Amino acid sequence: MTHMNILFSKGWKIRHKVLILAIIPLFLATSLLTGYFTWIRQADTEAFFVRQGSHMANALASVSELYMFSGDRQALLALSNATLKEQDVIAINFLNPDGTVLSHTGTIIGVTPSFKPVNYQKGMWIFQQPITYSTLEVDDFDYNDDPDSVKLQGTVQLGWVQLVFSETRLKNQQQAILVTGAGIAGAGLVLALLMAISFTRGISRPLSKLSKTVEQLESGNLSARAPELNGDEFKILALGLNRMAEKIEQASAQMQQRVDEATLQLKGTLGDLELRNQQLEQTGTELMAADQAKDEFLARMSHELRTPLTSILGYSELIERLGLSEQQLEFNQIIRQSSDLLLSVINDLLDFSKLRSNAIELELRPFQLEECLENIIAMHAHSAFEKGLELVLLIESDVPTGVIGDSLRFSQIINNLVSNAIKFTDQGEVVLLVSRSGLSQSEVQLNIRVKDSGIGLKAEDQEGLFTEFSQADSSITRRFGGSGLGLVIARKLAELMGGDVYLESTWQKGTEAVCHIQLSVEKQDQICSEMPDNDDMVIIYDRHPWALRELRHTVLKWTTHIVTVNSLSSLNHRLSQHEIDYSCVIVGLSAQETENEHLASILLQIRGLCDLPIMLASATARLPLQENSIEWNKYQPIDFISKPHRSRLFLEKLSRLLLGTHMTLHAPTQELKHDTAYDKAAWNPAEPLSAATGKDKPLLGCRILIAEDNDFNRGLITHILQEAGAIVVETTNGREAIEASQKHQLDMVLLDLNMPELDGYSTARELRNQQSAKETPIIAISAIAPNSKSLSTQLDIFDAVLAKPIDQQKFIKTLSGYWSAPLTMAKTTPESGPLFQVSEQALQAEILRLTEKIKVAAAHMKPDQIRYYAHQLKGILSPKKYTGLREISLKLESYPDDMSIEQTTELIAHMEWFVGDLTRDN
Amino acid sequence: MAKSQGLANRLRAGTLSFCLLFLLVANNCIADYSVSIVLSDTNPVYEKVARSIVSSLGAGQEESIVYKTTLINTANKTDIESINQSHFIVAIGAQATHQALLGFPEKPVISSFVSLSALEKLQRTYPDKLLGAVVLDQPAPRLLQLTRLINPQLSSVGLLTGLQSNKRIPELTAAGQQLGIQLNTKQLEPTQNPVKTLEPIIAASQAYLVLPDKADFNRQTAKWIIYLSYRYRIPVIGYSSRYVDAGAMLSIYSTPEQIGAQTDELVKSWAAGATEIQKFQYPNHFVIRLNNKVKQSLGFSKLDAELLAQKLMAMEIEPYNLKQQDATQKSTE
Repeated sequence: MTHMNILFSKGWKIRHKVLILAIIPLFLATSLLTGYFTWIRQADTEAFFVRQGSHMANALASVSELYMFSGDRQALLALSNATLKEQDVIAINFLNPDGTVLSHTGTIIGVTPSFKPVNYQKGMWIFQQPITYSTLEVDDFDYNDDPDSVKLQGTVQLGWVQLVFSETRLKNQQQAILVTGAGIAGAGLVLALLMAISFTRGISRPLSKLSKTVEQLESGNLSARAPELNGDEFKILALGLNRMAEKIEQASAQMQQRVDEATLQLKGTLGDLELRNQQLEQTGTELMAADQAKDEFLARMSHELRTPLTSILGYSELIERLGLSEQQLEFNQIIRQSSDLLLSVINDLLDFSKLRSNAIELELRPFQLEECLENIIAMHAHSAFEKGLELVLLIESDVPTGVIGDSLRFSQIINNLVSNAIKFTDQGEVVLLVSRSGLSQSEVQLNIRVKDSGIGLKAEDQEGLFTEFSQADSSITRRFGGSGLGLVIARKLAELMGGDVYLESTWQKGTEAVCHIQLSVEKQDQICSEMPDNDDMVIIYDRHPWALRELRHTVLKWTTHIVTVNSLSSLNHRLSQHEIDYSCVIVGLSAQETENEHLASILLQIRGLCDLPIMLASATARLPLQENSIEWNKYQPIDFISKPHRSRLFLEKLSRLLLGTHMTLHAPTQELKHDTAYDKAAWNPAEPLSAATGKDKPLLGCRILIAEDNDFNRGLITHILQEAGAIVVETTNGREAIEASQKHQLDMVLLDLNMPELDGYSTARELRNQQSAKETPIIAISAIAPNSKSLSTQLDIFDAVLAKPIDQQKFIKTLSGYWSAPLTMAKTTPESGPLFQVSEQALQAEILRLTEKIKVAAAHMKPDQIRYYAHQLKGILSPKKYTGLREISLKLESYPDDMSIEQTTELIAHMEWFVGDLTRDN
Repeated sequence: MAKSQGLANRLRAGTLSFCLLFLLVANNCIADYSVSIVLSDTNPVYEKVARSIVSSLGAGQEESIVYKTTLINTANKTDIESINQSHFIVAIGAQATHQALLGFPEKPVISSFVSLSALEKLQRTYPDKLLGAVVLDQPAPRLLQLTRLINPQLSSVGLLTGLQSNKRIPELTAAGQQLGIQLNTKQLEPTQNPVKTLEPIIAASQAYLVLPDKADFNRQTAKWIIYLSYRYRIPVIGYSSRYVDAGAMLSIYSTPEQIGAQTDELVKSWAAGATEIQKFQYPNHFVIRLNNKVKQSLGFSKLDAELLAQKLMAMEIEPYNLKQQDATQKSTE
């Protein structure tokens, strides 16, 4: 069936199919019948042959009975000769009962006797019959009436007669039958074929004519009609087809008319649609433009909002130093707070929009967890201090220090929680508790709980806090400000990190913000393991229990011999008893205890009892006591660290104090100088700058030309040089520098390598060509690593190359090497001199300016400008402090022309985040 | 087969019972002389003989003879007592005769329906015991006369004898000499090929005469006798109806009824007080039966059985037995 389907599915014409359908049964019937009858005839012939042989053998057996009985060979021979004349008989054998030949006649001898009556051997048919002797009953009764008489057996075997027939005639007959059968079959097949063809033509021709008519109709010739056909069915079919064609023709004409009408309508509609499409396209273009404009607006607004905000913040800070009245200071403070809030709102909105569009991808980088958390705490130390709050960080000892994750986003979450806690707490404390619940050795779940003693939340308001732009109530917005996005962002970020953020709060009793975050563990290194254990007995005083606990927790990394007291009376009591040989007194001061009189009172009490080293841990950023003042010195040995403290710094100071190394407040080590924002707050940058004024000026009188296109860098360098006593001529590019060199007598030239119009190399070459500046030291300033081989040959023209960002000491030292001051001028080593420090605000303002330039350039897809401003940015960023932003600037500096928009957007987003981080730090 | 034999036996027993009942009825009528007819078994031929003996007592018979038939092999005490009380015994067949002579030595016995060779054997065993006998064999002159009737120019008759039939050669030779017929005869030894022995006899004879011998001998030789006689185109004179069926041109024999009737006559003569003792009697009555096809193929188409029998009876001028039987039963096929 399947084969038939395949056969008929090959696209054969119906003529072929009908032909096959007709011929196959005929062929099969003819073949089968002919074959059957041929076979029957052959079988009959053979059966007749066998019967004939058997009969002859039977007859011969009967006839030969007497001769066999009497052993008359002559008679048997005569009988055989007579039989041999029969057709097909080629041999007659008479055999004894034992099979031995008694008589043989004919051509074939030695035929093996068989018990089969008919046997076929090698082209011969052998018919064999037993010759038996039977007795004849002739008595009417037993004449002798003898019971003992023995009756003979019915038959006695006398021997065998064997007739050998040749099969030649049989074969000939069978062959003749076969030939006849084949002939009949052939004739039958030919006849069948002719009949099938005739039959097929009778069907296929009319069908073909009908098919042609249908094809014509299909091809659109609706006037085509089927010819008159013979045969009722085909005639009916043709008539039906013609009627159908007429109807179709009529219908087609009607349809055509309708189509024409519809076409006219459609054309009209299409015209309308085209018009609408054009309008839609225009609308779409406008929408895209609007969307693009929105993006650009956001980017621009981000810049435009941040830039003036930065200026506002910077100038409001500067205004504070102008000796304002209290009211003016208060107003200024409001301005700063409002600006901070506005910056925070902008950052939140940006973060939220990124989270909404899943544009934030977490980075996996190793970072120090403790340091990160301390940074966060330090950032909020000032605001906590101002509200009189104890800000405490407690990290369980089993929490790993080195983890792998996105430190910035992690910081953002915790920062938000701590910020909220401080914001909504008016008194008491904010405690950051960090513990772990281990997932595995390589992964850890951090459980961070930020407890505050603030106003708390009503149960119905808690979950609403995680809804966008929602706060507990509108009064909060009015009172505390904020975008209402902080917790939403924190939760989404935590979820990105495989964790969660939720609140546990009781109204009027405080809130506990809980954050679970999964991080990979980098390594297991404990701070305490780095510290030598010793026998120093330390007594710690802090009246605030959480602060006392924090101090104790830190000191435990130094020594396990700790006595804690939470009142001054207890402290005095302990110290006055002299029962214990204390090594050090650690005094934790809350915000309320940092007033001068109170502090002096505490210190006097302690000094009245002992002369042990005192470590002050104060909630304030600056002690009321002046450094190196007489009053301060009388409490020696003493050192100070702000609360909340950094454990490493605390332990360093403690160790130095105990080892007798006195640390002054205004002379921190280089290591400390590069610490975080909190340290910057502790070490007022204005003080060293003012301290340096009037002191040694290694470049006093030196006339220096500076060519630097970056205003900030130029201003910075100018300021440093002026502070060092130099007379500075500022230019913004190489062309101006050359012109200036012709106008001024110069002792030294500083050239930035990458400048518009004329770069540093070309400028240097031209200057060398000038007689006036031929011997003038020319020093290059570059953000490119000076040991770069590609630049080494070109840099030969310069006397020295200094790397950006400027290392002031090295800078002054290098320059002073090329300056021989007049004898009247004292020359001091730059190491001992004061250092110029640029205002952090000014530095950040410059960073913002450059990053905005980069963003605008990226928005307009201008790779040259991106590379240029990235180079500028890299030049002012410290690798230690601004690691992330510097890495971005390095990438942007080598920004390829064919970078995709997605990659560019990603880089800019990273840059924005780092920039946002800077502003948030403030 | 066994079932059908059993049924046949029951039928025979029934028939015998009927006969016995008939005899008892007869016995009630005539009680002067009692005779016991003993049979060795229920062979239908013997029954025919017995029935023939009894039925021969027709009306007008003066002697009152009571027959009682008994199967001697299964006789009970009553039967034996009855036999003992009879005046003498008529035994049908050699076996019954032997049983009667053995079981009832004091009783005179008449044997009937026995072959001559069997009778001679019994007489040798029980000398002077037998009162008389009716044998089956045809007398030699009758046989040779018959050959002469068939072919008046006949001068030689072939004959192959067995151990028993060979004893009749002297009688036949004597009869042949009287009729001028030469007997070509030879006794077939058990180891001899019958064809090779027969063929020269038949080849040298104008007719062939068959004498009954032991059953095996009869069966072995019959086929070749008939075949060779056809081959040499001489008539075969057989001794039984079956021989005619097998291909003999004619047979001469006495039926059981004829033997029974002759036995009855013998009984009556004894009952009537006959004193002459005759060892045996040849059958007085006989039957000639012809095979028409054979006679035509051998050129004897004019032969008629009845005519032959009449001629033969007429030629027997001196009867072989003491009493001549007038009536002759004839039969032709």
